[in-house]
Amino acid sequence: MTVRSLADVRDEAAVEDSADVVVVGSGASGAVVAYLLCEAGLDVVVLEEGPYVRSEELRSDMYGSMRRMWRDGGFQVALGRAVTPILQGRCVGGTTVVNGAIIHRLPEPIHAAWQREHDLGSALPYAELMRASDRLDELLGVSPTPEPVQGNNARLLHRGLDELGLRGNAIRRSVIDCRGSAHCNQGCPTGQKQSMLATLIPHALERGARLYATCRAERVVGQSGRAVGVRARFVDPVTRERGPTLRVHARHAVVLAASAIQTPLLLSKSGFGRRSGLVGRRLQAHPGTALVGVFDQPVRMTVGATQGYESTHHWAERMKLETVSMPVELLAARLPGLGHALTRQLERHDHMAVWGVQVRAQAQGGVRAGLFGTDIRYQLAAEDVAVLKRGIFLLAELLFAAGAREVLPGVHGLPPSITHLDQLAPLADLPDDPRLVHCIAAHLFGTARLGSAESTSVVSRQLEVHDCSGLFVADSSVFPTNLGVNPQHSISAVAWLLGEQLVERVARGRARLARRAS
Amino acid sequence: MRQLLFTRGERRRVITLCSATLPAGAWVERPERVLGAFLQDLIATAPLSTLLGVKVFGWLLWLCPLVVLGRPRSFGGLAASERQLLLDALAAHRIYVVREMPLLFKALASFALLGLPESQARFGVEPRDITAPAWLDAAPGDAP
Ligand SMILES: Cc1cc2nc3c(=O)[nH]c(=O)nc-3n(C[C@H](O)[C@H](O)[C@H](O)COP(=O)(O)OP(=O)(O)OC[C@H]3O[C@@H](n4cnc5c(N)ncnc54)[C@H](O)[C@@H]3O)c2cc1C
Ligand code: SF4
Repeated sequence: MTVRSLADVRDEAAVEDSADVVVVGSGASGAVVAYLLCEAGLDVVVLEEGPYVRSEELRSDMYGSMRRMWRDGGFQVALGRAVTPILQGRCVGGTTVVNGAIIHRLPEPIHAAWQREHDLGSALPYAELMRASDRLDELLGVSPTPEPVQGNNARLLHRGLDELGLRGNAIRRSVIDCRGSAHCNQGCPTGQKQSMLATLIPHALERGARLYATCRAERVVGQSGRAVGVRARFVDPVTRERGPTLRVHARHAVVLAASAIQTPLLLSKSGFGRRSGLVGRRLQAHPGTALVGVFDQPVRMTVGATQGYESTHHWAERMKLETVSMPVELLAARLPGLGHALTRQLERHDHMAVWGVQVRAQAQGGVRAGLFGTDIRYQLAAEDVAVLKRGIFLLAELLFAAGAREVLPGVHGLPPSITHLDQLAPLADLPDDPRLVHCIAAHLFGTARLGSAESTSVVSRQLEVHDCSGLFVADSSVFPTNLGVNPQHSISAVAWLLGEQLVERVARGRARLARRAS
Repeated sequence: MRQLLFTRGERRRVITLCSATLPAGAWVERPERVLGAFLQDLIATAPLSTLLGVKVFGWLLWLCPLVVLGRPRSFGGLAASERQLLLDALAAHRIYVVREMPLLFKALASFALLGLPESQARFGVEPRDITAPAWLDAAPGDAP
């Protein structure tokens, strides 16, 4: 198993390597591609900007986890009329290490819309994506969250949905033997979560992949319109200590799997995919907000699965509801009150349930390199805020139906605490303004979208960058739209098909070379 | 180099603002020391845009009593009850950026203080960590 980090190469002037395929990023997309290529016997190098963190090193304090394993220490934001935190992991295993492990497949209506309206053509056939999802289910131990570890937060949502006659279900997650520590966002301390760090990355390493961690890809190197390698540098992502450069020669392909924020930045920096003018444009997301309910009986959010229960009942209306058991550090930021009023709220945190609504937003933003780092622009459209308001109302209704004695809506212009649903009626009259509530966005799409024409897309239907052969994009940058469900599995399924395509392509290339040689 | 971005005075102000949003003296021994170490770590590791936000919001909040309460004092010159009044007024303000100002310091204070074993014990968070967070152990020096 070869993992090299800054600490291992600090004294070297420069590092060089070569591989059949170089994969940039080790998250939901990159790990899958690396796994499939290694399974097929290819020589693979994976570059990962973040550190390699073992489960036993993980702790429960949120800041400690964020500074080490989250992009920009968790402080990355998008600017618009409101500031929206853009949450991403930055470590070996990518965001899957700190996410909720919720598994959903690509919704068929979304795939149909991509075919109908977004130039997907016959690429990424739905049946093939489902075949990939089946395999991923097996590899990641996907199953519904068992009742005993769901926790009271989940049980209460279940009750509320039943009371209102709405559909809900135990969340399917990529977790084996969950111990219900509610630590998914800090990283699973006992290794139950089947993140890419715990599954496909170790598989790939066992089959010969070489992983360079704390190693930031800076540019794809092209020659005569072909990707021939990647230039990178070892940098400690926390202290910013700079180490030597790394040059990796790619014999067959370079795959960008660095996420819908970082991939377009790399493309722009490398000067590829620019002809459509769409690199970094049309960023889509699932912005979400959370409501707090206060119950007479203890809820104990710190016991149970971080996210155990959900409802897709209103999916067609562009919203999805789920439980979100937050550590007290994050909960505090969501609670009303400052000073001693905040302390008093915290004293009853054990009686609080937190449920979120995420919106399949129509808004489109953008990402580019800025003066102080990554410049992300994103602003909810009025239609999206209207959906969010309906979601807030629905969550409050559910909380009361589940027995909450008080709901803390967190909406500017409304009382900080309500005891009856009627008190939420003025919400309808508030303007559809993104500054009404605090939203976060953790599901990101569309910044290097696929299509057949170079003028309207960045990558081809085979996910190859139009103006650079041998350069592929595996992450959700290529998605024409957002999904309305948690995206990890859809991203991995698309990466799976790309991985299989690359295996065939390399085999064909090798056969061609062999024929020529003979 | 990054540590030069905040003067000692600015650090003291940020610590005072954080302490006002989450007064933890009753259960954390010397919370200013923890906040000082946290701020030092934040300055070393956070993106420049975040630090710029902390700096600018810190100054605005420090100087706003004159505008908001009509008192010719800085935030540091206010009594505890007046500080509370000011923070509450800002958090409910009609201008978005103004309401965000105290919330930024509340978020920072929560990150710094609520992950400590003492805070977990105080609020009954189970299971509890036994040792202080690694960033606090590693932080050199004392509060400014
Ligand atoms: C808090 C949170 C909870 C979530 N919960 C869920 C959930 O429960 N279910 C779900 O389906 N989705 C969830 N998501 C979203 C999901 O995890 C992501 O959509 C998915 O992981 C994205 O996959 P990716 O491969 O595009 O990027 P990532 O998984 O983020 O991986 C990209 C990797 O590339 C690395 N990288 C970036 N730039 C470079 C560079 N220049 N050089 C080298 N490496 C680089 C990054 O450090 C990162 O590790 C959640 C997200 C967050 C933030
Ligand atoms: S709830 Fe705890 S044990 Fe279960 S997967 Fe998440 S972190 Fe691991």
